[in-house]
Amino acid sequence: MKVEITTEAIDPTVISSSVKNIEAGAVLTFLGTARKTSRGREVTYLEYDAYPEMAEKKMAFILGELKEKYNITDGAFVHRIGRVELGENIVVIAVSAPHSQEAFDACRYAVKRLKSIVPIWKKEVWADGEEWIGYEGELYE
Amino acid sequence: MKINVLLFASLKDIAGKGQLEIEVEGKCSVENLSKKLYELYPKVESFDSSVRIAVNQEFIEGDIELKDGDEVAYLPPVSGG
Repeated sequence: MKVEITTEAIDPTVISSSVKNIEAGAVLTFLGTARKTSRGREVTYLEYDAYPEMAEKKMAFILGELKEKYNITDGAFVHRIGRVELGENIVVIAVSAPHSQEAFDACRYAVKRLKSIVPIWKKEVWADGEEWIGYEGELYE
Repeated sequence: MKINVLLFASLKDIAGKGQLEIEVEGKCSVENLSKKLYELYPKVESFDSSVRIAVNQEFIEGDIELKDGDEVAYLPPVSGG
């Protein structure tokens, strides 16, 4: 189980391969990328802030939950921080599990938990301003 | 005693820094510490209802007593991913 907060570019194929093992029949990788349009505005780039030590602890905690709830055989969770250009990779969550259903459920749960308990913050920067974004969806506490 | 205070995202912008040390006399709870922080940076208080607090990298519920060297982080609503 690998977790990492990094300022470097993330390669999802490497992370995805790292969770393969012979107990698993499914590997699923979620890749979050920087989108151009957000709530009707054109984003120029994104900037991420984090409390890295606590964020990595919470990411490891979430992988532990995935093992308990969805029976995953391995997992990796990597999030980039600092400046991220449009189209670049922001987060990779890769899981392996005996069957596909568990892998899908695990990935979906991990994304929701990321947006609820991991201390990472996104700032959207536009041509004429910027704003720190707070997650507006349903929290998974 | 000395408390290590960490601020992130919008709160870091308001204070102009992400880390500061607050010196307190005798006993101090998180609530007391927050009052001192708001005296230094009044605009931080306007985020009070949405901010979660972590002591030594764990979320806390309610108020707790602090000890010398504790790390207290003020966390606006997160938005990873």
